Amino acid sequence: MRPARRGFLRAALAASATGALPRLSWADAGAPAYLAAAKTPDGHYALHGLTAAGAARFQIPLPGRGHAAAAHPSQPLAVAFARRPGVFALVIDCALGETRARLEAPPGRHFYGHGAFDAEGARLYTCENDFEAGEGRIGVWDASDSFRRINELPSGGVGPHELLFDRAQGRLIVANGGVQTHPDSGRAKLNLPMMRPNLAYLSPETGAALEIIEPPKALRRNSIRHLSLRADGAIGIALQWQGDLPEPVPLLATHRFGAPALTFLEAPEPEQLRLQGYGGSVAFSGDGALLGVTSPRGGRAHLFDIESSTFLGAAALPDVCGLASHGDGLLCSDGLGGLHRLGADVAPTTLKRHNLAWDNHLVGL
Amino acid sequence: MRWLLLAVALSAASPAMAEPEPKALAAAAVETHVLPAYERLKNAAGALVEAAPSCDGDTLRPAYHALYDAWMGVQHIGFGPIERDNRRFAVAFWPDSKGFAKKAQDRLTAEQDPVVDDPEAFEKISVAGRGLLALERLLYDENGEIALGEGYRCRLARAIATDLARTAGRVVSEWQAPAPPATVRDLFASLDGGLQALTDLRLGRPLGSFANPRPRRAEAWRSGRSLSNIQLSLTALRDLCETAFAPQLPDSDRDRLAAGFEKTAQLAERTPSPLHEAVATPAKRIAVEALQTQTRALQGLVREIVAPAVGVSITFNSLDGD
Repeated sequence: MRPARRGFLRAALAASATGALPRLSWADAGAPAYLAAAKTPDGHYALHGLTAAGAARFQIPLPGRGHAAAAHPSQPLAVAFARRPGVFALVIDCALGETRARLEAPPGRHFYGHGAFDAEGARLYTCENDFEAGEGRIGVWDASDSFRRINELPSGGVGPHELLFDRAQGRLIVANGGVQTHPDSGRAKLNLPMMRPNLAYLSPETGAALEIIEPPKALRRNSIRHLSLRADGAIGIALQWQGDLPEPVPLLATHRFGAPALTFLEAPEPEQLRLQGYGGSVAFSGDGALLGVTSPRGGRAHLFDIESSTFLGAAALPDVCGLASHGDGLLCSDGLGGLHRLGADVAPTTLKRHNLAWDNHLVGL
Repeated sequence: MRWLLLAVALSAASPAMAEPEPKALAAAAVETHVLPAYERLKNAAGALVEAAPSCDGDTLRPAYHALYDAWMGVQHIGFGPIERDNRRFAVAFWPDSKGFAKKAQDRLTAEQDPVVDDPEAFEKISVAGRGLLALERLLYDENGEIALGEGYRCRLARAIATDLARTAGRVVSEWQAPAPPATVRDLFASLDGGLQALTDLRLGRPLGSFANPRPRRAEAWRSGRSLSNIQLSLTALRDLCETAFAPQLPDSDRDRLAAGFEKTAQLAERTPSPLHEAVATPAKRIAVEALQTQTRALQGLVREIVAPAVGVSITFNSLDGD
């Protein structure tokens, strides 16, 4: 955003100091449709706001490599997480381009890179590792009061990588990846033979487990990592296989609260093998008819028709990872700066190419 | 695209433009590497259709091998019309560790499904029941050549041949239609992916582990093609590298790449055939492992030399996800 516009916003806020405090909205940040972190060619990192056509609305420098961001439902606030095992997150005012607050993980905890606001934007929930206990935690922060930490909940498993807040049902949905790590060992995985990932539905007040779903035994090494929520409560899940890959494994699943098991989706074997056991991001199309998964390792995006559980096809997109809904299709971002739309015909249309490397995730607003 | 080829020739001849443009090279690579190879695929598929009515295995087997040879000249090309409508898998459904090809074929033959007499309907059956690997099952079993007979299996062989020819024909005609040009990145990804498939799939899958080799995971092991597929793929990948990328490299790098391909070809030449027996024989297995070490090294060399020279980066998300 141009400094002049920021100056204007600041002046407007100051002028109204005597009256009710005006709340800035996402419109004041240029009404972006997406948030995404990226690396610039000179090696710096920034959080970007993007329109549906892929044009930049703002860019705000980040101190290090980002991962995902949590967007406030009404105010132009984005919480940018450092990559795991990061111990801080920044609450960025995307209208003013400044840091509003800095979240520090408490001693003995680190963030995983994902978090989510509740329906009103009053609470922020963050995925955390209690690394001495080897258990997952959900940090609860008061988003209305300078982001003070007010509570901590059990995540229902180990390695909670991403969480979503189901605003319609008032439930937390957590992807417990099952992989135990300790910052002393960097990103090394400590418990692969025993890992037990799960999808946990939690009460946001008490952390009580409302439902916990594990993959079948043969797929215990399939780490449940990333999530997407459809308006009707269906969950899309991207998985990462933690083991040898003699057989292809499914890397995409769906679940619905109350269903006894995950429903796995996979492409024909030769195509499935191209994903190299790694699902990077998952998203439903805006109309909920399609579900996609990306694999940066395979440079592929796979698309499925949900209703019939059919594989629609694969798009070859080198270094693709970010995925979010885009009308009745999906938007993909890649490490080469590309933003591509993918519809049911699975033929990607490049909307825009920025001179940037898009990081792992695209966050839809 | 012919005018582009002319442009490359002109620029190469002009002293003012010592280095050809990567874009023009990509177009030239399509013209000289991709299109002729698909023409060969189409012709070989046509020859298979001509051989099919005889129901004679001895007539069909050479045509099958010729078509598979042609496929190995294009199977690394990971862009263009072959990527539409699951065509790649309809030509060659491999790997298939869950045995979908067998299931599909068993069902067709058990039901004597008349779908084999209708090419349009045959196109809609499972890709695992179509293509080269399905045909291989009709011509070979685990002990070698088998008779086709004049019954349903012959009708199925004809259906597969016709289907292959239709797919190859479509791919060729769609390549001739105007389309967005292939990019340098498409070509690099095909080269890199082709080398990786040699290491991970064509060698890695049958190698398994020393204690547990997996001979039947070798590609087209029934017809004894596993090693020759690797050799044919290497030849095609070398041709791609030399057409699309070598002209942009300094002589020293070009020589290193040529030496890398040469060494790999020599090791493949020395690898005992059939591959599926070699992986399970300790004294022979070592040669297969050496070949795999070399294909991995060759991919590393290509990434080291070619990727930076043509401005392709292969890092960030793909090497460092979360």
